[in-house]
Amino acid sequence: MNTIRNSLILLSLGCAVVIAVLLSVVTGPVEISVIDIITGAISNGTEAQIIFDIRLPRAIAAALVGAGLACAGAAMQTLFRNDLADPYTLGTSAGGAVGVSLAIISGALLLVPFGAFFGAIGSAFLVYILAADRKRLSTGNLLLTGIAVSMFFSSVVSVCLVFSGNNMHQIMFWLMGGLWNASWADIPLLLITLIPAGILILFSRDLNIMSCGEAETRTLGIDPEKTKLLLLAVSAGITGLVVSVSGSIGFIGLVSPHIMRIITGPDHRILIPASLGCGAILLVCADTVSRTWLGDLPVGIVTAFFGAPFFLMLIRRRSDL
Amino acid sequence: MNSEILTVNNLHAGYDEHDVLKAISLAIHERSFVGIIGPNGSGKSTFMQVIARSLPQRDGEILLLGESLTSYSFREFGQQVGYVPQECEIKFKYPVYEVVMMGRNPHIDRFCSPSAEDHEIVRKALEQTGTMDFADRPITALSGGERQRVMIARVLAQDPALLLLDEPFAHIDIHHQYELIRIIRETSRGKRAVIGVFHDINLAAAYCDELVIMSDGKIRACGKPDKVLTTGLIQEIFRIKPVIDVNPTTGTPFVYVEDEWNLPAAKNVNVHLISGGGAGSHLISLLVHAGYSLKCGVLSENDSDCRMARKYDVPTLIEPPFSLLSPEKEEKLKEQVLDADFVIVTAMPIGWGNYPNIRVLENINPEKIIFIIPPGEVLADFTSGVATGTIKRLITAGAHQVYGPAELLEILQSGTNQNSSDFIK
Repeated sequence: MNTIRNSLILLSLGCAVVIAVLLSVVTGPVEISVIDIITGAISNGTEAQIIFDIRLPRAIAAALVGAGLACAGAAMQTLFRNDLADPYTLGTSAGGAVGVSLAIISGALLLVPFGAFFGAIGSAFLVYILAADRKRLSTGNLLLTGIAVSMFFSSVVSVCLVFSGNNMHQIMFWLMGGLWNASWADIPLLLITLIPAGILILFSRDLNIMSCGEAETRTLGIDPEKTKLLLLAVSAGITGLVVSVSGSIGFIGLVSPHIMRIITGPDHRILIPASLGCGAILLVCADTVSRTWLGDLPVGIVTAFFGAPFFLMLIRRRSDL
Repeated sequence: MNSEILTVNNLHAGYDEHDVLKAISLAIHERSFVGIIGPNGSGKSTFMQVIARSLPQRDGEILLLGESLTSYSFREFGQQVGYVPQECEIKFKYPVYEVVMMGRNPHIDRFCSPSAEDHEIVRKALEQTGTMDFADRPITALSGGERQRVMIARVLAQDPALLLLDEPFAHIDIHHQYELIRIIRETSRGKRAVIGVFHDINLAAAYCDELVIMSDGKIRACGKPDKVLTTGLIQEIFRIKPVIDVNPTTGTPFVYVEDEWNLPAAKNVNVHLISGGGAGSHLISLLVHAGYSLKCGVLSENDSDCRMARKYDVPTLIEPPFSLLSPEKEEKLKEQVLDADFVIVTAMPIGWGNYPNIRVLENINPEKIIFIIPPGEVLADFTSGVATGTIKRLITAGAHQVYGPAELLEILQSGTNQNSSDFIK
């Protein structure tokens, strides 16, 4: 492992995340001068409120959500041995939506994060069990199962919508995915995702070996079944946590690992931390764009707009579909 | 006796309902290189999968270094057992060095990075397999042979007590096959055992200390290659007609397969073959299969033609090595050639020792004689032209001269017809 090169990559990504967050804070419909912020000219008043109570927590939330989705995507692509896998395509996010909807219509708003968490994990395992044949997961099988499960879950969500009454807008917001409501209160929950992300990094050597072929994992000291289940639960857990704040946002988890693999290579020891950075940057930028120039369009729509063509490109590159 | 690395008692395993492996028992000792051979579907790969813990055992007992295989955690298991797949399946651009470092994974703690010692071991493995030159290149950029060398480097870096090879040379050219099997044999000389599944019987026979022959999920034979490779067993399980010879470069058994000649049946035709120096071996096989009643001689006992004749139980007149042809043998030969419908003489070297083989032909009808002299070949005559003179005389008198087996069979066939018509008269 080229340590110097990897450190440089991570350092620059880290700086880029900070810069993206700062740029996001000074960008928006209300123009606020960078100089004013630096000189402390706006320590209170409306502008300060916009910056510190609205834009900053939202940008930090976007960074953490993007980072979480990206590292979950990176792990899922390896666990499913499939480069089209990510929390969105596999229906993990849809599972979270069901959990959230059920929590909302039952009126237990405090349970929303739990609903998202367990919905996502349940859905990930459902797809895994349904799509797995004996040896490996074929791309076609996996995507079709993911779609089928997603459709089933969206019908459940629709039913919830019908019976949601006054809570309908909450569910709708959640389905489209956005960060309007992100506040400082959400940040601790999102910071928790860094723990499972750390677990993924600890298992990066195992992920490397698992990405190299099924046959030799056992003789290289890995229990593939247990490791797969554990890491799948971890990735789905990350997804559940972040989507409980942001709603389901697609394609960040798919795109980020692919972009980073070009730069870092396939080694998960660098790929996972790099994906964290890349996902953070992408979602902060997408959210800033939607907030500033697209009338606060749900950011899920923006990521889908750019992510779907990328997804198509990946499909066309494959031959075994 | 060296200590046992792997002990298998009454192992049953399989897929779906039926057992692929039935009551396998086997002991593998350290410092041994064991080759498993057998036809497709005989269970050899299944056996390897069970030992590599990819497939659960259904019944029986597997002991690794004296303890039950399943009592090992996968981490401990990876420290003792290494596996080389048929083909390297890595699709991602890992540098070769990192792929070999993966072999150290069972030895490295989850919270630690590879130590200086690990790096040293990896470098040694790279050097041993000649892969150091492409240590920094992505594995996906290498050829199949190079990739398989990397797989072997990885397993060497892993340094297991038991090394499993599952048809490791299936996609590798002959040069790399031999290079790699030598490396593997060398590693089996340490405190280690190697089990390999091989398709190439001769490669396995040349390099393995012991062979295990499997068919239909059972072990049919197990032991030193020259003890277990018997014509009967090979014929039965591989459904070929084997000839088991000795590999002249290694002294190990060498199995080759007889050509199946599609020949019209020849009945009641007596053919005598005069040959020597290996010139007649292929004709012995050919004529026996064509159904001719064949006799050979006089041959020297150490002649490869003589060995061939023995393999087919052909009645043969034999003299001890390096001795002159005795008058008694010449008399017997005379009887036999007079009795034969055809006498075939191959282009063999002729000296005073075997000249009587030719001289005796002057007593019979020259039209019964067929000389096989390939185009452009000059007889190696060590009798100062006496033998050549005799042969020329016989040919002038009406003996046949042909270039090869095809023409020979034509003459024998037409002769057969004549004889049968004679017989009807």
